[in-house]
Amino acid sequence: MSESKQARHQGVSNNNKDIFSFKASNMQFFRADGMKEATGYGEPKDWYFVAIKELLDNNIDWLRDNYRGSEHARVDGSFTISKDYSQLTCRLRNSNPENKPVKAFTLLPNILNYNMTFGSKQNEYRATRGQLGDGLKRLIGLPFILQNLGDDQSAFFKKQWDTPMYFRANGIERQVTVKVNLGASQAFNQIVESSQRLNHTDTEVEISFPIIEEVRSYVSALAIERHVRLNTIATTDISFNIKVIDEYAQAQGYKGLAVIDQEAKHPIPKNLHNSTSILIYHPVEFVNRIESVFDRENTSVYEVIRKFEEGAQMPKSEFDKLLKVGDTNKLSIAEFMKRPDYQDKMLELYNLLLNTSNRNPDKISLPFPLKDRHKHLAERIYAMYPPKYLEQNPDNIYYTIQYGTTTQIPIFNFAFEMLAIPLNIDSIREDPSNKQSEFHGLVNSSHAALGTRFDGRYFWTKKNGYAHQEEDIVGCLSQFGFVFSAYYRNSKMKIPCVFLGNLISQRVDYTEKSKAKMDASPFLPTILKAVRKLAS
Amino acid sequence: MTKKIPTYGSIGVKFSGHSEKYLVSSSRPKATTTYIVDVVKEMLMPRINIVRSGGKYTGGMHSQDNLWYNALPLFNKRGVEYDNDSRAGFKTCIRNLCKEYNVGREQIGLYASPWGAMYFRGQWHDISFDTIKELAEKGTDIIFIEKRDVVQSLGKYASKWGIALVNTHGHLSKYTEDLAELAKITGANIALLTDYDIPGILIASKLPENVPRLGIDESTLDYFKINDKEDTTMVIPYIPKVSRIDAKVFFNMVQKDKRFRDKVDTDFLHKRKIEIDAVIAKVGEKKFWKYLQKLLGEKFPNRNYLRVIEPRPDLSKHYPLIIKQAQLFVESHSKNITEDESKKIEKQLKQVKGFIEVKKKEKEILDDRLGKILDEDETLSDLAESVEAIDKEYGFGIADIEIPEEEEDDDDDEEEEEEEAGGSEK
Repeated sequence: MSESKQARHQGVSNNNKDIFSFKASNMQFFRADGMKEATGYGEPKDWYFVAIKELLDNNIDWLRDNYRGSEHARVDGSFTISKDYSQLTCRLRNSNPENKPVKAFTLLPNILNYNMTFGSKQNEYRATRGQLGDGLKRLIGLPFILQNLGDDQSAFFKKQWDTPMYFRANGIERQVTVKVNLGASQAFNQIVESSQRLNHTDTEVEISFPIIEEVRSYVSALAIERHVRLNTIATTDISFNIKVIDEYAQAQGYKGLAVIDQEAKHPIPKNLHNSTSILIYHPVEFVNRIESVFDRENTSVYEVIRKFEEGAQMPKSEFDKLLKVGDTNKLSIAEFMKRPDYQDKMLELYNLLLNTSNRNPDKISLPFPLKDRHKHLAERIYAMYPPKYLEQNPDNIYYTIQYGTTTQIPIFNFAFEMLAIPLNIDSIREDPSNKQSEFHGLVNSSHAALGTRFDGRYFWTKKNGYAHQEEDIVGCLSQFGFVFSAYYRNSKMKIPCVFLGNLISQRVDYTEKSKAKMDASPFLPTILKAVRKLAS
Repeated sequence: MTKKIPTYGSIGVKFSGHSEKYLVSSSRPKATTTYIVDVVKEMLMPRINIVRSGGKYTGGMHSQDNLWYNALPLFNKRGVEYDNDSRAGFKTCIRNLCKEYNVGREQIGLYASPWGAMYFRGQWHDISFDTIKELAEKGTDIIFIEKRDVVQSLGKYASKWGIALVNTHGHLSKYTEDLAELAKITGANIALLTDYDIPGILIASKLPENVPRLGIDESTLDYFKINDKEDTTMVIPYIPKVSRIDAKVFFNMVQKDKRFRDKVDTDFLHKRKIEIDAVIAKVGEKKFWKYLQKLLGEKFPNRNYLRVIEPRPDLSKHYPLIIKQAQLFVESHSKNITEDESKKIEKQLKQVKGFIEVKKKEKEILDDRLGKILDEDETLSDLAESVEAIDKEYGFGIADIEIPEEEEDDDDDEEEEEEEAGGSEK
C-alpha cells in the first residue's frame, strides 16, 4: 500500500472525530445589546426568526455530516403559538436510525459555557449552514432577554425563564434551565438527565420563547411558516414535515394549522463538504484553527492537519519529517505549542500544505444534482403562494447556475443559482398596475431572518458604453428591466417575477455572528453574471 | 436557459406614460407561448435524435441562413414575433442546441461558415468539421494568427520551413480550437500570434499555458528596438465599445500566466494597442518572420518533419526512358483511336433532352464505347503480347502483379440504395 494510501487509512477514526475549539466570551448571551450585536438585528421581532433558522440549520448540518448518501434523512417538528399568544414552542427533530452518537449533547456543559465559544465547526470553512456552539447559547439566552426587555440595565436579579430547553438524543433526554445573575456576571446551567429512556433514537431539541407584546403582530403563524419554507426551500436532500400551529387562532375557530411537507428529491450527496483546503485559510486563520483546539492535550497535530484536504492526501511521514518526530499522530497540540521552534514549524506546515494544494480546484461540489433542480425549487415556491399566483407551466421557469472562484488567498469555489418564476400572466393582464417582483436570497440554502440582498458594489458597462453601478441584487435586477417598484413601469420592462437566489460557497465571511449579514464582495461578479443570464 | 422572460409589451400590456394608465390587447399574444427557440427545436430535434441514437442524418444540408428562411413560415404559423435582427439569436439557438446535445452542426445537416483557414505551402484550406482531421496533420508547427493579411504576408516564409499558418479571424472558433487540440495530439508544435491589445491577450488566455504566445508584447518591441509608446505610426488608441474585462481581473490574469507576466504592460493596454501589421510595417516581413522562427526554435527545439516530407515519394520521374515513352505511347495511341467516338459523345452530351443519370452514363462511355475500342485495338494487343513475351523470357514477374480494384464511391452507393428502398422517381 502506498504511503499516501496508508496515510488515508491511518487514524480513519481520528478523521471522523469532532475537534472542539474555543475562544473567550462573556455574558452578552443574556443582554439585549449582546443579541443586537450578535445578530445584527436591532428589533426583537427578528430574533425569533434567528432562533428558528438556528434550529433548522443545526438539524440539517448534522444530518449532512452524519448521513451522507442517505435517501431517508428527515426533519420533523412543530412551531406552536400558545392559546393565549404568550409563548412560542419550537420542537425540531431529525432522524438518526443508526443511533449515531450526538456528541454535542453530551458536551452540553462545554457548549453552554458562556465564557467561551466551543463548537466543532469553529474556525473551519465548509459549505455548512450554522455554527453549533454560540448558536445554542443564543437560543437558551433569548427567553431571558425577551422577558426582561427594556429592563436589563439596572437590576441585578431578573425574571428567570423556567421552561427548560430539551435536548433529546440517543434515547436520552436532557433538560436545561439557566439561572442568570447579570449583576454578578454569572449564569448557572442546570442540566438534568432524565432516568427514563426515550422510545426513539432521533435527535430532538425543544425550546419555548415568550411572545412579548411588541412583537405579536410580527411573530405570526404566517410569518413563521414563510420563514420555515424559505429555510427549507433549497434543501432538497432531506424530507421535512413541519407543522406551524396557531392555538390562538384555533381558539377563535380558525384552522390555525399549516403543514410544510416536503419530500427529499435525492439522497444527501456522498462527497459533501468532506474537508477544506488550506487555500481557504489566511495564515492567521490556520494558526487559530490549531491553537483554538479545546482539548490540546489529547488532540494530536496530525488530527487537525488531516482535516485539511492537502493533509489528508499527503503521507504522514512528510509531517513526521517536517516536525522531526517519529509519529505526528502522537504529538499533541499542547506539546507542539511548547516547542521552541513552534512558530517556525507552524509556518513551515502552512507552506507545506499550501505548496501541495491544487490552485485550480474543481467546481464546488453542489449539495444537489442539477437535473430537474428548477422543477424542485419551483414546486416549493408554488407552495408559498396562493394557487394561480405564479405561472405554472414548467416552460415558464427560468433557472441558471453560475460558478466562480476567488483568485487570491483565500482561494475557494462557489456557485450562485438563480430561479425566476413570472407571476401569472393572465392576472397581470387583468391588473398590471400594482404587481411587482420579489427576491428571496439564501446563503448555503439558509435564509436569514430578513433575508439577504447580497449587498455590494456591482459595477458593469452597459451596451451603450456607460458604466453602471448598483448596491444590491435587487438594484441589478431592476436595472436589467425587472419591476420592483409599485409606481414605475413601462411596456419594455419584464413582467414581475418571484426570484430565488442561492449562494453556495465553502467560505462566507459574515459581518456579524448569527450569519445574517455577509460580505458579498467576492461573489458580486458571479451574481451579476447570473442576473445577466436571467435577464438576457 | 434559452427563453426570455416576457416583457409587458409581449403579453399585450401597453402603458401610456403613467403606470396607472394601461391598455391590454383583447387577446393574449401567442408570442408568449412560442419562441424562436421552440421553432429551432421543432426543426432540429428530429435530426439531433437520429444522431444521438447512433444513426446518421442523411437528409438535405442547409446553411444556417437557409434554415432561417425555412423557419419563417413556421414563425408565422406559431405566432412567433421576429424581425431580421432576430436572425443572430436564431443562430445562437442553433449553437446552444448543438452544444446542449453534444452534436456537431454538420452532423445534423448544417453547414457552418468556415471560421478560420490554414495557409500551407501556397494553398488556403478552409477549417470546417470535415477538414479538421486532415489539416491537423499539416505542418511541423502551426501558428494561429488573428489576421488574414498577416497570414498571407508571412505564408511564403513559413511554407519554406514546412510551417502552417492559421487565420483565426479573432477569437478561436470551436473548429479552430479543435484543430489546435488535434494537431498537438498528432505531434505538431502549436503557437499563437496576436495583436498587442486586450482582446489579443484574451485570445491567448483561452489556450492552455503550454501553447506559447509569440507576440506581440514588450519582448517583441524590445527585440526590434521599437519600444517608443508615443510613436503614433505604430501605437493606436484602444477604445472598446464594451469593456472586455475588468481591469483588476485582467491584471491578475496577466500576473498568473507566465506567457504574459513581465511581457505585457496592462496599464498601456487599457488605452492603447499595437497591431501585428504595424510591427511588420516597421521591421519588414522577412525580419519579422525570422524573429518568429527564432522564437519557435527556442520554444520547440524538435519538430516532426514526417508531417511535411514524404519519405517514400513518387519515383516515376526516374523510370527508364523507354518505360516512360511506352506509357506515353499507350496514352497517345488510345486517344487517337477513340477520337472519332469521343467527338460523337461530345455532340450527344451537348444537347440532351431531359436528364441523364450521370454515373450510369459515365460507365457506358468508359466501358461500352471508348473502352471497347481499346479492347479491340490490334496495336495495343500486339504491344501487350510483346511485353508479355519479354516478361516470360526474362522472368520479371510483371504478369504476377495484381491490379488493385478501383474504390467505389460510397455516397453514390448510398444514394442508389436509398432510391431503391424509397422507389424511383422515374
